[in-house]
Amino acid sequence: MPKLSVFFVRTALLYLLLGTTLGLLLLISKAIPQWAAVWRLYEVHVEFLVIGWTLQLVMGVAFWIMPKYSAEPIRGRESLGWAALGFINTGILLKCGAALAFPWPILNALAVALKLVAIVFFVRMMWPRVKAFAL
Amino acid sequence: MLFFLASFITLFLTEMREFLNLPPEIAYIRPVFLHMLMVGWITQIILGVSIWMFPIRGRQNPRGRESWQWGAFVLLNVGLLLRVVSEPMIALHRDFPWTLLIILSAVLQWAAVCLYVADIWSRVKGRSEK
Repeated sequence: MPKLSVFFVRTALLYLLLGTTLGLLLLISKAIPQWAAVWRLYEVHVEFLVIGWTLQLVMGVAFWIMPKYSAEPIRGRESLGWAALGFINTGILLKCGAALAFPWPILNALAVALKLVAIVFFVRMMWPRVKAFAL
Repeated sequence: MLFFLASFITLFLTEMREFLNLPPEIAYIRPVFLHMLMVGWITQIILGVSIWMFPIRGRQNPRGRESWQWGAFVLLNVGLLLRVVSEPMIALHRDFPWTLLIILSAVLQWAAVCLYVADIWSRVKGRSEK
């Protein structure tokens, strides 16, 4: 597994742990009404599990297993992938900041913009690798 | 795949409530639909495929601790099934045994994830790492 995939997948596993821990608190709060305040963590729970876990795991595994080039660099422009990793995680952290402490619309917008840039970079890197083996 | 099927049956029931003359309480199964889809289907298929195809640990014991993987499988599915039963019920009656079952469901699913991550972590590695 290439180093970029290792970083994507291990980061995704950390988000799985964190997101599930938040899910544990949210579900328990359904039985204990005094815990209702934990519902402010709901957005973070969804962000961690949808973007942090599922999306990043798919990105990491795709970079690892999709068809490669016959000449170096065999997995394409890896620098775009590292930038995508940085942007998507900064976007997730900004989203958490916006949900928990600083409910400023600009912060939410910046978080979404960073995730969009990450996806554009990732698609740019992976697009030529989506091909039949003979091509 | 069973949870995949069950999740869309649940969605069908909530969407068709008026046509099928179902009681309004059927709406309480909506959160169950999302979790059967995202935990029962998507997360579980990721877990299964990763155990199968992530880099092996070595010639001896190539896929790691199989007992932990089975443990995660059982805990996740029992936890999710408890949720499917207890979450709609707790919306109607927040009392025993549903409160206990929903707490148990949360703990089992969390324990399943901890077990899975602890097992798979060392298999997320480059070719040269031992």
